[in-house]
Amino acid sequence: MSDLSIVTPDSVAQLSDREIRRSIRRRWVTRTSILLGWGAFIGIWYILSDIVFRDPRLPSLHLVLQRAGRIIATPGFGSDLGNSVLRLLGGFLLALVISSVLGLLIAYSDWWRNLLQGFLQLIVSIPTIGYAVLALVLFGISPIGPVLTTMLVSIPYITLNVAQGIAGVDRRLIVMSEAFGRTRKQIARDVLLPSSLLSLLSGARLAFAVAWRMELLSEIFASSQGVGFQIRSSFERYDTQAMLAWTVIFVALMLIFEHLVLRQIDRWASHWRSAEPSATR
Amino acid sequence: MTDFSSLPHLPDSLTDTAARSVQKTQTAKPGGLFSRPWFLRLLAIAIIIIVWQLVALTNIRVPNIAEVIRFLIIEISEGTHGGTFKGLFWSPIGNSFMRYAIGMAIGVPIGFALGILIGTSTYARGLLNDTTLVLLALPSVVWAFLSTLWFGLTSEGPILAVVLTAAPFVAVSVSAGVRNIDRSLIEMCASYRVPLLRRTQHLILGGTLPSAITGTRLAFMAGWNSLIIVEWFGATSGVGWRARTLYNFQDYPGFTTWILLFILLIMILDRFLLRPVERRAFRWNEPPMLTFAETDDDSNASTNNSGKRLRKRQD
Repeated sequence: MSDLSIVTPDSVAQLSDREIRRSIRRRWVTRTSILLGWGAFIGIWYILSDIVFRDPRLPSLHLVLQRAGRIIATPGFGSDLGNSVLRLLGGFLLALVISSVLGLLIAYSDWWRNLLQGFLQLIVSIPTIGYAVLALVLFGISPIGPVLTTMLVSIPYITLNVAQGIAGVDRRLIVMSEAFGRTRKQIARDVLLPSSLLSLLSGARLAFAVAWRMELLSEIFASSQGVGFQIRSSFERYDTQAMLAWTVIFVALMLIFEHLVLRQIDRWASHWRSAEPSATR
Repeated sequence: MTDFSSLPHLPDSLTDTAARSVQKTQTAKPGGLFSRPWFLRLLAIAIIIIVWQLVALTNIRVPNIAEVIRFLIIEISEGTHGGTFKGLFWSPIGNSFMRYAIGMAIGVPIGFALGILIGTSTYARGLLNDTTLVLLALPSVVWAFLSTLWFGLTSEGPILAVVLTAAPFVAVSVSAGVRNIDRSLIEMCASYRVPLLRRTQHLILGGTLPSAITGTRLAFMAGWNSLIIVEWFGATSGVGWRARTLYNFQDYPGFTTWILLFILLIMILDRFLLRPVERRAFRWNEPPMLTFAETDDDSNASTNNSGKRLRKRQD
């Protein structure tokens, strides 16, 4: 963005005192407003929980957090969380494999692209609850449902990104490699793979955000263990505390994974492209 | 762009195929019957129906297409499924759409206002941005459960869930749209002293509208999702309630019919209302990344400018 100008000792020296003071003040105002925002969020929660709705309908924030702590400490916690995470990863890895193949097909063949586009479009336009209940019909209460639905909703995002990555490989690089007599294998490994891997990863990041929500939802409908099942059964017991506590735990974990782990991998994989913003264009 | 595929010395390698396939998509002409897009679309539908029938043969819980159509006809004509179990069609759909419309009518403007605020003012951004992201991160099922607990089996629950799910989607994409407006255009407006009203109308609204509409489309999907979930767990009318009832009766043909119905309803809405609007809004701009536009050059659209221009002309 344009407000992130490069700071060198010279440019700092050129700034007047007033400008520096103004920018410091602006930063503090931003920080205070972020703090105020969180304060307002917590405050509204307490107003809702203590005045409007009362405990069974919306418990106070600290009660939810305490409950979350107690849930984490119980011995069953690991197995529930492990179940959910395993299904999520299983579906996600299946999706990665399948979408890499589909992405290749789409990038190299018009016929496959036209055929698959219809399917991908269909997959995206079905609301997630449709998958959850279809899994309930097809597989009943079983772990297959969550795995397959997670896989299905991730496929379009990864596939499209892989196809884009392969089709968008800088063709000048390929022509150059051929001109310098590189073999097909070398070109595939050193030119095609790195650039398509990058778009595979960014597709994976997009897909993950959809995938974990899908996994949770299908567990809510068609599972007898896992985080989703716990949320559902606490809802049916009117145990709002436990419901919110499980939600907070799972959502926090997923967001951490999405924003810290996946983004780091993304950054690590794209380190070689450094400062060439649109090499594929 | 140079036509690399026409260079004679290149071997017919994997990479050459890549170059040519990209080349080809820019000037794609429909070949024989088997490569026409409409044929392939029909083929896709046929494959889905055939797979469905095969699954129906092996799995007793899955009804075949004939059973679903028979059930649907009885539902639409409000006849009897046998005994006193009567068909219902328009009243669940009407109820659901009523709640959906009210929820979206409240949620989208709220999201739009929030988005403009977050996008234009740093204070509002600090105040509201994190909260919006938290609300967006919560899966819609949590909203569904909470609003059921708060309002019981009334219509307010579903409406609230739709509002709470839809608003953050719109807010986030609108604020991103505002921030993506070309800064030099804003500066130009300032130096030419363009009046505030005109600036808002042509620069802010014009610049954010496309991303606002994409966000609204996402919000329509998510809102429908949480509406069905609330109705499934806590309502006495509506599409979700009907599907739930039939599921409890172990009436699998009926249940499947309603699942297909609520998928079809949102798809019809998306195709005939939202997508045309979105395409209109994107006329002057880059198409969004994941719309899956059904024109044939989707995978190249954002990497290839000449392909995009070509499609514009075809439109």
